[in-house]
Amino acid sequence: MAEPEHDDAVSSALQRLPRFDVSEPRAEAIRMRAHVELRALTASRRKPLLRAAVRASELAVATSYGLYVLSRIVTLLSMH
Amino acid sequence: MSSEHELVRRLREGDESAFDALYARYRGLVFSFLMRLTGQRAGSEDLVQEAFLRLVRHAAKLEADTRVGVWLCTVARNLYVSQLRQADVRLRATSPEPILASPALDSPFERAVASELEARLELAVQSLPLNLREVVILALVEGFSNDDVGEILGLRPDNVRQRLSRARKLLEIALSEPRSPTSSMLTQAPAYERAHGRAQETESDDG
Repeated sequence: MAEPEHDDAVSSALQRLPRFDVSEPRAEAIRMRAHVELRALTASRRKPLLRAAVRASELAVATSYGLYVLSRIVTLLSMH
Repeated sequence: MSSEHELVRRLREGDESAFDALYARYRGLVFSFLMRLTGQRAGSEDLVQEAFLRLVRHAAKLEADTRVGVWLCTVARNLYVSQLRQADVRLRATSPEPILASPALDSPFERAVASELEARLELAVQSLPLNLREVVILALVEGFSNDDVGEILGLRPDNVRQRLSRARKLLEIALSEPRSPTSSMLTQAPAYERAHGRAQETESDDG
């Protein structure tokens, strides 16, 4: 924050100037719009993750079915 | 109150309450910076909105140690300079709106006591060219360190110090003048740098 070199009279007076603020209705409108964008972005980031999870589970099911079929073939071959 | 790192981490995860906390913390800083930079309320509110929306859009990419105040002021300032360069017709057509009435000084008594000096200071700051005004607002009004000001404006700290030194001299001259000449600056307030004339000054100095 303020450094010691800013200690002349003009600098001190400038440091005491008040803050301005966005008008309340506009401030609320900005906040709401930001929330909407944040929700949309969060949802769009989660979609690929969800798709990847579904794909992984499908792959797992297919793999386990393949192993089952393979084990059945081995079993049948060993009986003969 | 949550730490800034914690708020940034939660914002990256899409936490709306983290955004609210950062918005409450930095809204005034960004808006005051822009108001004194542009001299226009409506334009400043638009830029505040865009700066915070960009914070949301970049949330996932924010570094864990991002200093949000510096980040927002950098974005807000770049948006303003970009607007100046594009010389938007609508903004050029907008008449200047000098900063005189401080929202913190609503009662007539308070205004009578403080408004004279504040008005002179605000006018003196607004009379500075953009490249000096932005340094003065950030370093002296908002209290950023020279390093932070350099980061926001893309300047080396020694360039920040040079600009501050030049700005102080100009401010002292402006404040030492009789009131009427200072007041005459009111009609020449630099809102939007009279569209884009002064924007080029940001690049024209410091070697």
